[in-house]
Amino acid sequence: MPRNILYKLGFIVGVAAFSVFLIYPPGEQINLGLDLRGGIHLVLEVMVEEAVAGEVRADYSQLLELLDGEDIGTASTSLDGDTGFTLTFNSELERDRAEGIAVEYFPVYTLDIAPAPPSLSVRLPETEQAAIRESAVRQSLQTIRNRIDQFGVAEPVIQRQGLSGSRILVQLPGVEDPERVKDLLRTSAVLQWKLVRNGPADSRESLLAALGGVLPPNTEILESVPETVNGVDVPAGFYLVDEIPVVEGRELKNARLSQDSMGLPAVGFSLDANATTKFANFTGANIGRQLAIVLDNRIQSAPEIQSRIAGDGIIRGSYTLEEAEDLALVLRAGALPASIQYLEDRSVGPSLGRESIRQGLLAASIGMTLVVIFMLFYYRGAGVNAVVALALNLLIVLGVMAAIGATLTLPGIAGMILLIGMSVDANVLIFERIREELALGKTVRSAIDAGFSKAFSAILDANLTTMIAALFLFQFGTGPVKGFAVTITIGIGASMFTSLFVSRVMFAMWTSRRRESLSI
Amino acid sequence: MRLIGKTEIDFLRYRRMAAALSGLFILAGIVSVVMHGGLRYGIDFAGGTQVIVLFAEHPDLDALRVTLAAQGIQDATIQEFVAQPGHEEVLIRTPQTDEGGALISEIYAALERYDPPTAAPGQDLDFNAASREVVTSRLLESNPLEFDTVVDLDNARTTYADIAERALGTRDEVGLLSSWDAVDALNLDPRVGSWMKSAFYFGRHAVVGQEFVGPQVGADLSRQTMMAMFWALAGLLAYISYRFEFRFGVGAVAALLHDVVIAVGAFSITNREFNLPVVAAFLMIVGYSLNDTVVVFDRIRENAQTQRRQPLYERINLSLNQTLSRTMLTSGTTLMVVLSVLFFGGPVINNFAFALLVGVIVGTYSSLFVATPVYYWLAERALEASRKKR
Repeated sequence: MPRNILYKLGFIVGVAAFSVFLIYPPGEQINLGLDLRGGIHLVLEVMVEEAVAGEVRADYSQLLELLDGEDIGTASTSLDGDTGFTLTFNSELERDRAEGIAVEYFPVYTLDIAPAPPSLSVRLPETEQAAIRESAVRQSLQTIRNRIDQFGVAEPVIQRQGLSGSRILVQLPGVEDPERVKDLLRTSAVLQWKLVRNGPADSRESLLAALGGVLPPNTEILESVPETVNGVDVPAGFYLVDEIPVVEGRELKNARLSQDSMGLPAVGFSLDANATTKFANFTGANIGRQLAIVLDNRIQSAPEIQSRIAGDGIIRGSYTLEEAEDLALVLRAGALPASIQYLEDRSVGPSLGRESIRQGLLAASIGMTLVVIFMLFYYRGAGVNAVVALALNLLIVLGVMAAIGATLTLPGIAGMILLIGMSVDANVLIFERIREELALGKTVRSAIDAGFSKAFSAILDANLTTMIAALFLFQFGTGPVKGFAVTITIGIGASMFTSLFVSRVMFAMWTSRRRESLSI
Repeated sequence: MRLIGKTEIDFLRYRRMAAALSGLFILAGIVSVVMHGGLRYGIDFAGGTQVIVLFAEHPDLDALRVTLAAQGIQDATIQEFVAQPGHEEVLIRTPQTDEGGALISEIYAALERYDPPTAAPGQDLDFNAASREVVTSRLLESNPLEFDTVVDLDNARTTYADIAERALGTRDEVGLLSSWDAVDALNLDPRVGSWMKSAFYFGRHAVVGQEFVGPQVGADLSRQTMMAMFWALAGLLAYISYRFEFRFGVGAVAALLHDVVIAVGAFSITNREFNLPVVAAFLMIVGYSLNDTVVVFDRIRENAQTQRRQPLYERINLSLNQTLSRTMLTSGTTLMVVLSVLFFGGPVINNFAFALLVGVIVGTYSSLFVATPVYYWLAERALEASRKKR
């Protein structure tokens, strides 16, 4: 056999061996998509407008407080949608003073004045709104990432969909309990400690009546979570609490699973240095009063302060072990800046994925067997070429997928099966052309040469056009479809290599033995 | 061996007949779409909630529907997904969406009512439905191996997680278990074994997959799909115009549109569901059909160079005949695999395989009877025009 054929053969064997090396062991090297290995796929939307509205509302009440402090009275005040508010004054003088304060304290707002009645309209400009939205998404992404890290998922995907959208994609392979994960991610986890002024009462109305029908300034009424204490159900109660919290969740240093005095699951917390001092002073001064622990505006428990509490304590509620663990987790991971909404949830259980793989592999092996039998039957000796090319093709596709870390999905398996059928196409084109040339009476060698060179343009154009279609599929597709496009694209590349190069070398091996006939 | 030898079929002669046939198919598809009131969109496009439930025995679908309606889910579609004895999968879908997850809970509750568990006192967990996380945390809570969970929590967690993985892994191999035999064979610690037997019962059904897609996602997806199709066709037209000539590009794109429209029609006529993998299949049809067409065009291009004197009509027919053997062989091998996916690939990709089946057949037909005649027609008109000029 001529030396250059040997080199080429060596190269082909090298490619095959390298592919096997990349694939082995298949269970670990080939990334299976969620549809095959089971897991949870979530798309969630950060309600960014909420973050904007929250910011505007906070500035609104702060400005009113500042005006109050300066003894500037207002005739009426109102929020205008989510992005601004209007203040009306009794005199232009008051309005101008108010404007001065607004300029000083809230420089990012756009201010407009109107003469009669003297009013000031305060508006958050679009660029500032966009900045708030952007930071809400980033912060949510970070919080969700923290929570999932704490939850302990191997190889999670947590990313923004698109560069500027407010959607976040979360993929958690191998996680089976979608409802728990969804609750875990959705919790705002805003934790606050607030002093109880009055309560509990059975209803909001009765509490308000006890207060003489008017809510005292800087207080609010919050509902407690119903719980079970020593086997007795305690219904929800209503408490009057201070609006301003003593300490907040963001001042936590740590939160962990703990137990209460009854040995029931609870969440233990430690405050950071600053908050520790604040908390110790406050509890020392308020012994005997109740302190409400508020999570997402619901009172978890309202224990009596029995002594001066330094930086550590527990949060008690009727938690199961799992709930207490999850609560500790979200407290460690931090609060969400805005609420989130689920747009998409696809959960595949492990048994469903296993069945899909089994059936996919069955279909692939049946299809492949049929094609192999047909090719050997139809083209005899040359059929061996096509079959070798086919096998090498599969190896290369799997090898490249393992190397670039591409994900094999169910449509991807189907794509691979399809490739089996289509990849013989290039060989068929060449073989048919060689037969034509032989029929014209050419010698074996020149028929092979002519067959390859004449089939080349058809193979190139046909494959490139299919690749164009696959590229668009990749560009616009999502999830499993993307996986399909990747499989197809790699497959086309591999198919061109095997048909044009590998098959050629095999023909060269045939003819180097000086055979004057060709089995085709 | 040779299936198709040298042929001299006058393909172009049948072009009007073929046009009528194609028109008929396209019309049938359109009529079907109109009569069905649009395509039957799957959850990917329409949005909604769907669960796949595995039953041990063949479920009574009507009774299930009644139970679902009693639970407040009136508009559910129930479809048998897999029907094998001992492994019956049913797909329950409702167009309602609810991001709070309450809807899914209602479906779970309806399933409980339809197929109530037979649990002994104290058994409050369904082994067939429990997740690894739940089993792990329940083991940790009950602590049958008596770890000191204050000092040794991490070790206890790892041990219990491993037990949960092994026990449920056994279950996932089978689907639904009905006795402890398979778990006993794992030789777990007897204390764990007896705890499991006291805490778990075997439910007769389990939810193996659930999906919820909000309406916004579906709308975005439709838009993206249209974009993908549009740009793919535009890109292909540009490529073929560059590599061949513009008239070939028009012929190819006409054939592609023809194939996709007929495939969509076939989906409507067979009342199959149009979902995301089907879109992938459609783009694949585009790729396949094009592959076929390009091979024919390549031959026409080649013959135009070698036999300049030959009239266009004869040249096209010659090219079609020369490539016919290859066209049939490739269609044949592709059909072999497509059919094996259709029959053995399982329910999840069944619609995908059906789309490919239609695509391969129509794609082969269209390169012979749509793409080439359109090219012929355009080229003839151009020739006429240039003759008139002279």
